[in-house]
Amino acid sequence: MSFTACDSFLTEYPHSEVAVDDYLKNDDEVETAVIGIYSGLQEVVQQEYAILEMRSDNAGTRSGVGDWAQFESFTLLTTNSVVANYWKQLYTTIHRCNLVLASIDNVVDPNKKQQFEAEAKFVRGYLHFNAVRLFGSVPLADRIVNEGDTEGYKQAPADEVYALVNSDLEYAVNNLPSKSDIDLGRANKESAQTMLAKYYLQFKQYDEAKTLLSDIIAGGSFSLTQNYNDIFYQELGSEIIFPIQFIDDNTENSQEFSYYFLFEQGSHNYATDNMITLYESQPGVNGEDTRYTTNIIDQRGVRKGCGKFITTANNIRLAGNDYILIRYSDVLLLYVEAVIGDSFQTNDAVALDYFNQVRSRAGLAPLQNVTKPTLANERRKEFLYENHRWFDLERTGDLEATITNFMKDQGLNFDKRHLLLPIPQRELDTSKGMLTQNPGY
Amino acid sequence: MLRMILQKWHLSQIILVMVLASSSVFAQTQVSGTITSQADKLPIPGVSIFIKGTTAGTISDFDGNYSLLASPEDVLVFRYIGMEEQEITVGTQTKISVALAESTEQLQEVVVVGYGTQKKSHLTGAISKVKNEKLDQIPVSRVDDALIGQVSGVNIQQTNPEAGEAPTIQVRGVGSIAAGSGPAVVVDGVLVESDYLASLDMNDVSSVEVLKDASSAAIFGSRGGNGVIMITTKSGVSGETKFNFNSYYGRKWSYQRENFRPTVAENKANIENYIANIDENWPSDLPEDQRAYVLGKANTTLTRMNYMQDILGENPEKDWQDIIFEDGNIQSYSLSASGGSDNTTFNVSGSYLQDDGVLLADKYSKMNVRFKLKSKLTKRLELGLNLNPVREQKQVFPTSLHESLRQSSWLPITHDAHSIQFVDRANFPNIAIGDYAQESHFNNYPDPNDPTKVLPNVSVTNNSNPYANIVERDHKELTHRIYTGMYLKYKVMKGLNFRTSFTATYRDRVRNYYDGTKATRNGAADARLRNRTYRDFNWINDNYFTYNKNINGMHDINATLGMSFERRQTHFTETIGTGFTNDAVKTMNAASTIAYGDEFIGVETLHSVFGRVNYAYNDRYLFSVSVRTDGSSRFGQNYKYGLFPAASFGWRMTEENFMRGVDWVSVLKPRISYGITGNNQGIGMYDALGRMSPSSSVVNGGISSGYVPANIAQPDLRWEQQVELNPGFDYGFWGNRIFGSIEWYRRTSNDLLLTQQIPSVTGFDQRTVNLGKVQNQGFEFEFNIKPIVSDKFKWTLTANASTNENKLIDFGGVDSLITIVDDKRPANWIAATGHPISSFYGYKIDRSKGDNGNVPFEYLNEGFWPIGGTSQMGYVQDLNGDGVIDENDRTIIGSPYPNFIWSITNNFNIGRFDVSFMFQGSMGGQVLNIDPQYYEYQTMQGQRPNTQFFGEMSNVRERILTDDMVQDASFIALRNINVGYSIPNNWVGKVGLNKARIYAAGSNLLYLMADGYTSFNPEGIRDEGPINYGYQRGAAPIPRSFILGINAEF
Repeated sequence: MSFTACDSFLTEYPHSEVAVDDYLKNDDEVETAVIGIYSGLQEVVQQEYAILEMRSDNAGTRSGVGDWAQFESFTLLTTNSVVANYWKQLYTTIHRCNLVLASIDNVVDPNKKQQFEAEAKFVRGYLHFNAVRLFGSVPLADRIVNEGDTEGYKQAPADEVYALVNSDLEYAVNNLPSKSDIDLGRANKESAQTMLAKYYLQFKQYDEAKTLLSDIIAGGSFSLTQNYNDIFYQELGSEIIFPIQFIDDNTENSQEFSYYFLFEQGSHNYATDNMITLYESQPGVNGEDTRYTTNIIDQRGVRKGCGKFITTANNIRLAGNDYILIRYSDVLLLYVEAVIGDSFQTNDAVALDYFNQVRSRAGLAPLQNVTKPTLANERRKEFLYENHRWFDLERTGDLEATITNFMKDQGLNFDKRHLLLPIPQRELDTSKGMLTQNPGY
Repeated sequence: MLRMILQKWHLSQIILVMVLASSSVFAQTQVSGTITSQADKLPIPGVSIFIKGTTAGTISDFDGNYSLLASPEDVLVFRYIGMEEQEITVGTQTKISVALAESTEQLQEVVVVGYGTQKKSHLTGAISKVKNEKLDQIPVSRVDDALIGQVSGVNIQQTNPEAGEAPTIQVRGVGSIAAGSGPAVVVDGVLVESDYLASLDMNDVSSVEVLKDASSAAIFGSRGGNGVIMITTKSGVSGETKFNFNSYYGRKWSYQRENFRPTVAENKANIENYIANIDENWPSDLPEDQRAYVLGKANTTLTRMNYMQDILGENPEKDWQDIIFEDGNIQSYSLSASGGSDNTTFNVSGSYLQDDGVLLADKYSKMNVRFKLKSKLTKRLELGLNLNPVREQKQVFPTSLHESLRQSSWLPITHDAHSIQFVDRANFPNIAIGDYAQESHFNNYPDPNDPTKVLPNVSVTNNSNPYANIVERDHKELTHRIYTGMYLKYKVMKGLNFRTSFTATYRDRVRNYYDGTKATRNGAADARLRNRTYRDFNWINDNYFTYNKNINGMHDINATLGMSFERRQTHFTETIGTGFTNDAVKTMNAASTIAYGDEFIGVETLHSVFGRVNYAYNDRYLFSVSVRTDGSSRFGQNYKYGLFPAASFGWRMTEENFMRGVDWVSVLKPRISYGITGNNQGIGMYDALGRMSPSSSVVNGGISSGYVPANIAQPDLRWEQQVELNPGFDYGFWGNRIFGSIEWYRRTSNDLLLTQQIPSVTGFDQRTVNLGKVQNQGFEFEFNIKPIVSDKFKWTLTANASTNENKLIDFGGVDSLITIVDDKRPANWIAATGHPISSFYGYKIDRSKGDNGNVPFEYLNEGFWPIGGTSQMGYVQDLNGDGVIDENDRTIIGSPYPNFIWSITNNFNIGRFDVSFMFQGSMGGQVLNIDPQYYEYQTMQGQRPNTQFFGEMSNVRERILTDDMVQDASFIALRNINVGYSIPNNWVGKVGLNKARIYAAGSNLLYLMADGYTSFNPEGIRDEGPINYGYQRGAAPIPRSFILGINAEF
């Protein structure tokens, strides 16, 4: 029987989606895929606080049992759904970057082509940076990895992953437009410079970091928002370098972490006593650190809850508070970090100026020199709930000691090997033997 | 279709009679009489009476009367389908009245098969038939609910018995892992959505056939893999217009559990008793400080109990069952008219059904009109029309039952002057009298002994008001559906007919789910409206030839050849609005923000060619071969077409010479069938294609449109394939006083769709592949006996029973997959090869330790908490004996699939009374019942062992699935009972009726659950997909009903 006559009857194309083979053929279409990358970042940060804040000395959760409780106690199971989901979101978004890069030759306008490629590489580099810092040796997705391509499933040694981070971010620094030439929320040159500076600082390449950071500062595109509270509630202010944006009451573009921070929802990310003590030990000139009043709220007399990202949405599950990945005070404080370098402290005038700019905004008296611990504490207070603490400790090499002490203070033991996250079990199970679990799990 | 065939036969008789009567011979006498049924003494209209050896004759009128001219030597033949034929020599009689007995030899019975009909005696596959005798008097709102227990091998379970909700139907077990396992539904010969079973009115149904084996179902190709339910609606009968009215009205209520939960007073008494007797109770080997600790905890709990009693005041404690379970009415009205001329017949009916359900806020109603017309346009051409508009309205129970039933008995629904005094004003300053109460309103109660302190919190649940949670949500579903069918049938030549039909169905369903500003603890912040619309337009065009030929009485050939085109279009939209300040207006215009919008349009097409040849040699050897090929737009070029062949063979041994003398055997027919069918469920319309879907992001504060990859292209995707072998035999003894069938089947489902987990580095975490293999095998028995057949008393008994064994053979090369459906609760499944595809997976409690496996409460932090915490935490067995309790000590602890289902139906006719009742049961199925954790021992952190005293944590695991939670879901139900009385004709005649019967009926009036089952409905199962089957959490209770009804014909 021949059915050729019926083939046209039996051919249907999607109406509410597009066939990928027919898409990404011109500038506009590729640009929608670039926006799709940022859509992926919206997912990446939804539960990141559990990994980066709740594991650190900054925050904890009221959830006594289950997946959420495993973070602060360092009892993560390989099946933890938050970790599994985080890994999945990282690589889903990286895949989107690679899809843009694979279609980049279809972009005609050379400026757009350069920009799209740099945006994709920025995000790809940044996400690999997170992956390697949190999981150690991870698959290196510098191309589209198809199902069955077991070579692509393999874990790459950490230094190879870092090499990709370095080259992607460098490409982004060299090719991305500055803040004024690109919409806020898409990667700009300064975002890439900051991220690359963090990379250099981690590898003690202080001069390279300093150059990048002073370039941002000299550019003058950014300034500190006068009122600390306004950074979070007057969104897209002068301080914002790279936000991951959300809007209220929009199922596709709202975030849920604000909801989980509420007392009624388990007080995720409430401030530890250790954190409260830090704020209270250094009151400002008027008796308070303005960051304390913004960041800490009383939750029914039971908890010191998260005061950042408080939603005003109609529906509290659909919060529109932006997550701020990079802001200007980070640049200033990273500059100080670069200046201190391997020393213990600095009284470099420029560094002190930057440091005291941040301090005085919070209502604290200026200091005459900055030590490493002072800087670390300043960053803690400045960036509480902004998912910096873990990476700050890792970058400065203080992670193990700090967490060990913190756990000891609470009378708890933990396995130091658990500073690295477990490779999610589902990834191990599906990798056809190409992944190896981190030690201790 | 059965009726249509009968009808045709009548029509031809009528024509013959009319033509021949005019030329009949005069020298004859007038013979008349009345024809009645031996069973119920009622007149039978339409019996053909003719003189043997001629074609001269007549048919009985609607009172069963006839008269004709006959000579004394003539032999009159009385023939009526389904009745024993009688012959009487006229002789000198002028009045010959006959009581016809039901046919014992059901040779002439016809069953509906795919694209045609077949004599039951010539069937070679496994097909069960149910006639709508009293199915329309079962007080249920759906056709499929009425079919429970009627057919062997078909398991229909009321997994969600909320009003109007669909049951789960499995024909011969679950044959799919990722796709659906529900059967295909065919109405009047045309494939429809299974959802149509909701719209159909049972009063309109004439008969239901279930095609169970592959050889019967293969003619439906990719739709046949899970069996086919074929429904034939009633057709008109020519003659005087007959009206039929059927109506019932009654009450529905639900099974409740007694001693649902101890009251505060009972708990208090227990604790007081414990404290008073602690010296006797306390284990002597435990340290004193532990005793003091436990005593302290007991006293604290006692204080809390006192406080709860304060809150209660004069209000009686609530059993939330009394509030959430709400009895309701069920009522049904149906009026039909049927009649027509010789060339044109019609059946028109209208009905209304309303089912108030047994829960607060569930309700279902439907209005149904059906018009069916058949007309002979010319001698060769016949036209049929079938029109069925339906409107269904449903008030959907808006939450899961456990959310409400878990709430404390002391909680008032709303605050009154008494309860308001106890509100925690620091946290709830604005609560006023009349507001809904929540447990947390009563926290932070000042300690009467020390005003600087507060008492322990009383709230344990998620703090919603159980009543508000239901009544402050308005979830509505409105469905309009129009089924329009027409056909033309052309007689090409004798025995050869061509039929073409076009059937279109349009369904418009709107779901408006409004969650009010008082529904949850978050108030207006949670208020939202979710509107979803589903518009489906499907059409099918079937074209086929049928050919019937009998050569020399030896070769009986019956063939079908055709092709079919089908197009299905679905259009879905969804809008979510938030920002409602009050509940005055519950439509989208009152939302201040549109939070979400979605739309999906999908089209698929199917093209099929099918054929079948049935051949009977000498009425003894029966062969049937069929084949269908389906082409679908869903698939890539490689697998666009699927081929579904089948063959079967049967042997009517009773026709053999060697059986001639064996009179007591009336039917003996071994048969065997083999075939391949497919399953079209579980594959998206465009899964073969790699796609990108819109996904926006926010840039510069505004939404920017983006596209993201949606899936991995899967050009090799294809249908699941079912290969089935089915030997069986039909038997009948003593003139079919006993008859039935026995089947054995083995159905192997190959190329099963699996959601294969893949590494996320590919950009996706799963894809759909054809990899798995599942086998179902079992026996089916159908048994009918008529122990007593007399004029005054008749008893028939029908029993059917089925076994099924489900086994996962291949899981895509993986031995097993452990899955979890509910990350807050320990609910684990394993799909492991060699076992049923859904098995519960967890630990076994070690009952030799602790208090029957539980941690003794003297070690618990809150041993006296009224709803304890035993199940999720216990001593478990170290199954692998490595001295460590870990995940490797888990094992299969149960399976949800029953291995034996059965039913027994008795019918009694005693004079004018008739009684029928069906017992139905299901054995060997289990449920993972999480309900007790909500209703009995709510888990809270405070119930963890106190590590200060408890040193055995290594043997105890928390929050795990144990065999404690796996319960036997077997049941025996008195599914239906119907007692009727036929009012004598001379009475009903006075009010202009031909026939009237009044009846009382009930369903589930008796419902026995297994020992150890501790919830409301062993059939209740959450739909979590085939590999996570058997999860029970908050299922609606089994409804019971009692109705009174009347059935009148005029």
